[in-house]
Amino acid sequence: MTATSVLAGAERQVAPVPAARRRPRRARQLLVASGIGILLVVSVLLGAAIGAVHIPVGDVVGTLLWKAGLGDPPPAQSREVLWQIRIPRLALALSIGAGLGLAGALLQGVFRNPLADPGIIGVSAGAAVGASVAIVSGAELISMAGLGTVTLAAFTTGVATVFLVYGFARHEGRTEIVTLVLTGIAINAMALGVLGLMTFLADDEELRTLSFWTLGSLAGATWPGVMFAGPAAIACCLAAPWLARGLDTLALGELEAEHLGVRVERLRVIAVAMAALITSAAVAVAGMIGFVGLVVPHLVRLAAGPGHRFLLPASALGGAAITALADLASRTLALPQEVPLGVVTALVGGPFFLWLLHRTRSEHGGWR
Amino acid sequence: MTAVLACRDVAWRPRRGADPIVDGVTLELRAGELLALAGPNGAGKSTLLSLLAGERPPSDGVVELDGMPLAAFEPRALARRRAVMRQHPASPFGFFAYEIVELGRSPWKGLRGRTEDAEAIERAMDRAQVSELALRRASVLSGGEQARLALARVLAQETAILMLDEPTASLDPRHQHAVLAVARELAAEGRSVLAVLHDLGLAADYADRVAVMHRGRLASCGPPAEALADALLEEVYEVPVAYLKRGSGLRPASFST
Repeated sequence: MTATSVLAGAERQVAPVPAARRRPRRARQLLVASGIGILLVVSVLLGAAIGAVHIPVGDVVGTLLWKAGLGDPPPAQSREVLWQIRIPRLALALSIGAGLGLAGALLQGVFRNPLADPGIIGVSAGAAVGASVAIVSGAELISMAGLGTVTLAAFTTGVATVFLVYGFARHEGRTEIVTLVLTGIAINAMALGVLGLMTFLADDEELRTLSFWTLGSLAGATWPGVMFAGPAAIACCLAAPWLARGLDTLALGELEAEHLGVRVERLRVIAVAMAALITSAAVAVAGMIGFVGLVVPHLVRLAAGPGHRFLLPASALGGAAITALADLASRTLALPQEVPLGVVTALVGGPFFLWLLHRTRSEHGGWR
Repeated sequence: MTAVLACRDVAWRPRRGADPIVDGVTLELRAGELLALAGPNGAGKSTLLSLLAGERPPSDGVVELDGMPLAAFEPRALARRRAVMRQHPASPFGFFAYEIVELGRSPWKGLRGRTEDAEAIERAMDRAQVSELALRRASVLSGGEQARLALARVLAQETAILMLDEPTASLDPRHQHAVLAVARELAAEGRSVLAVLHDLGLAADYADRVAVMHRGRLASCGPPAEALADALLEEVYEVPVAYLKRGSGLRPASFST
């Protein structure tokens, strides 16, 4: 073929764009969105109805309506159990799950790394340092605005650890991803060292508190806890869509994103700060809950594509639903005992992640 | 012809006091031209391109776009003015080819209508000959297909200036010619294309001007016949001149600009 005939092809008229090509994922996204929506409703209704005291779903709906100023008051016992125990716990599960799902999606996007989860920037381990020191020093007896010292200390050290990791990895206004990941590993190891030291120093009673905290649980859910973790998660979920375009272009590479007009370093600081805030708040009130932040975004990406405009909100809502269901399992599987929530998410999430890896490998040749 | 992008005496050193990779280059890219940047490995072509693209500030000298320093541009405004295709473009996991090209529209987001964006994407995919790949997974495409896909993404940006770092590197001869034919069309439309080319034959066949770099400096710059003179090439490439193919003489039909 000569150069002249190659050129001739360029004279072709532009054909009208088929609708299917313009929106190749519309149908899939609609399906996934409705799936998550149904899962959310089911998890809320079941989570409120099932437990040591069974409450009819009608009473659950009745209480919610009554609290919203509609309808007649439901039976007092249902009302009390729901409003004092189940609903704060459910609200906490939803906001923590949303936070962890969103944080995972943000971090995987901003680090262009499917392995990223909130643990990678040291939040969980950092929060564990604060919590363990607070527990062992006996300071947990003091409380502020309904929140225990453990919560406040965990939140503070969680956020501080992220600043430490990020500050260390930053050099001349840029962040080297590999340096950041390795810094995170080093800081994680140090934090776990402190946790180990505190375990060593703890007496029996403290040891029990400590181990429950590291396993993660929503058993201590209260309205102040909800008010602590909830607003952070909601605010970040509302702000997240503004990062979607930047995160999408970042998938092409850092320089490519910059050439497309994205301020990569600013995007990274904002995303990491958001993830640090919501994860620290979540870990502070509920202890360490693994796998939600890692698995949920992967699952959404597999089902509905990597575009962040859908991925970010779907990961948040999916994380909320899955955490609420996991918490339901955690408190009902071994009645009257509770299986720690972190144990449930790890036992279910681990094998599930392996299956996900296997599936991805056989379908797309694996992650590269 | 007016210069749209120009650098004056730019130099770049990896560290203070280190030997410069780019050493006092003055070059301008004019409206409506295809300027090829040639030279042996390590001559500083890609580094010069990165300075012109604003990836890093030069150690010395200035880079100006439309007569203004590059740093004065807001990133998104810059992305609507010039597009950059780097070497070995990677396609991220999970995206459809169409979605990759769509990312090229992101500097225009909110400024143009959806239909206009879709048309720009379609035009770009057609020009880069990747239309039939639209709904394939980008990460499983062949090297050549990925290179054309990256070109389509850059074309979708619809900028007046395009900088292409070795756009023909992983392509077969047919697609090499097709890509440069597209570059010529863009120049004929009044846009400016700066392309790093290793193949002197392609440079001679398609470029309006060729700049040859040698050890960080400009060894020559001008129309292919002048810039690619025998004695100069032998000195720059350090091989007998017979090894260097310089054009087929088969110039594309639309060449007369």
